[in-house]
Amino acid sequence: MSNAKAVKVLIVDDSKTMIAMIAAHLKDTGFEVVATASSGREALEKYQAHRPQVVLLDIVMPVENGVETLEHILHVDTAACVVMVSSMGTEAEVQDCLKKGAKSFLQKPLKKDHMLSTLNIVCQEAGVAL
Amino acid sequence: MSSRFFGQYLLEKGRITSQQLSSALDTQKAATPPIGILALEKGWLTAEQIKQILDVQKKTNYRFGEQAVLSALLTQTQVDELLGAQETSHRVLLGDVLVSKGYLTLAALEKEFKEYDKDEEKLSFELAAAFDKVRNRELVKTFTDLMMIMFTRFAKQELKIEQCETGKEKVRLFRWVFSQKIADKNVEFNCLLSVPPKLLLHMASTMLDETVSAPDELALDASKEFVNIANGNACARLSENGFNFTMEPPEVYETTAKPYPFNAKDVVCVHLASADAKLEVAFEF
Repeated sequence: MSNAKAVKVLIVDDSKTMIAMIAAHLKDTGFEVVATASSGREALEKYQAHRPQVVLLDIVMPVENGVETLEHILHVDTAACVVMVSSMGTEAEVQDCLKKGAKSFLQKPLKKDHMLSTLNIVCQEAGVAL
Repeated sequence: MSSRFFGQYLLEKGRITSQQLSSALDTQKAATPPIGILALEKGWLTAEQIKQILDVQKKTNYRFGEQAVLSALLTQTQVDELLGAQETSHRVLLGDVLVSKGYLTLAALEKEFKEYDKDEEKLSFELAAAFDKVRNRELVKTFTDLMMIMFTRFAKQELKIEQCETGKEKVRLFRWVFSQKIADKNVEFNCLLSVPPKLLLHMASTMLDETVSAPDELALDASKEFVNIANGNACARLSENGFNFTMEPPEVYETTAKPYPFNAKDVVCVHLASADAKLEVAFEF
């Protein structure tokens, strides 16, 4: 059942496991997963169809990686609120993503509390009502 | 000679039989190590002192740690440290079960702990020397360390490095092989993890937070993500030393269906072991 007050989230990851894990972390939290995508192209389609308030975007994906997908999403919506998710988290990668317009960066393995506090901060800064 | 777990060490020395080890490992899975054996391992109490505390404890009904402090054999700080270590020490758990089953006496266990420590110290020097000899030592060491951390901290599976060698003929391939292409401007390699079926299921179960009993599509996806996280964390660690890696998603191979297609000249492999399984990390440069 859709929750009108919940913040709408799109999860993008080529791993079904990560999608399931993130969705489980977001259950009953004030965030609602409205769509998931396993590739960059699918992410863009789902973004345009659902207009989520937050996107959780994996970086290491086949064909089109997360950094390229970030650019495509920001091209269609410059105000998109995208949080990058990666196991790498190298300084250069984090800086590159933030410079390109990502709002924050989460390193895998994800810890639920840290993920939620990051999303809350990002939403507050972006003016998304929680 | 290579590094090994305490149980395997006792087995190789002929101190216990394989049946006794197997029986002890089964029992150990549900056991919690007592403070006394932990203190014995650290050399803070002797076998004689443990008996003394246990004898008094029967009359006083204090807990072991409390009685040890009252008897001035341990400090409260030591007891606190032992309580913290209680959940983690594999060899303490095993030692406790071996003593309680009557396979070893407490005094024999005390002696074996000391000899095992001496052996392990010697082996750690040999291992360090083996790592020093390999090409791209820093990469090999960091990727191996982060994979071990992933198993130890996330999957609660303690691992040891048995040996580090070069040459693809030295690589031990088990049923499942995960291969991930990693590169920066100066170096490109495939990082391999090879595991037997039971470890693959353990990796998948850890990621999915539920018991996985078959290597189906979801289990393989979960295991690939396990590998991806470990290798990604290694890239992050190495970025502090000036590396700037990119990774492709890992691929998985079932070697019983098709041999793993080695395609590099230089291969470095690190043999790893858990208490009851072997696994391998390898690097194709």
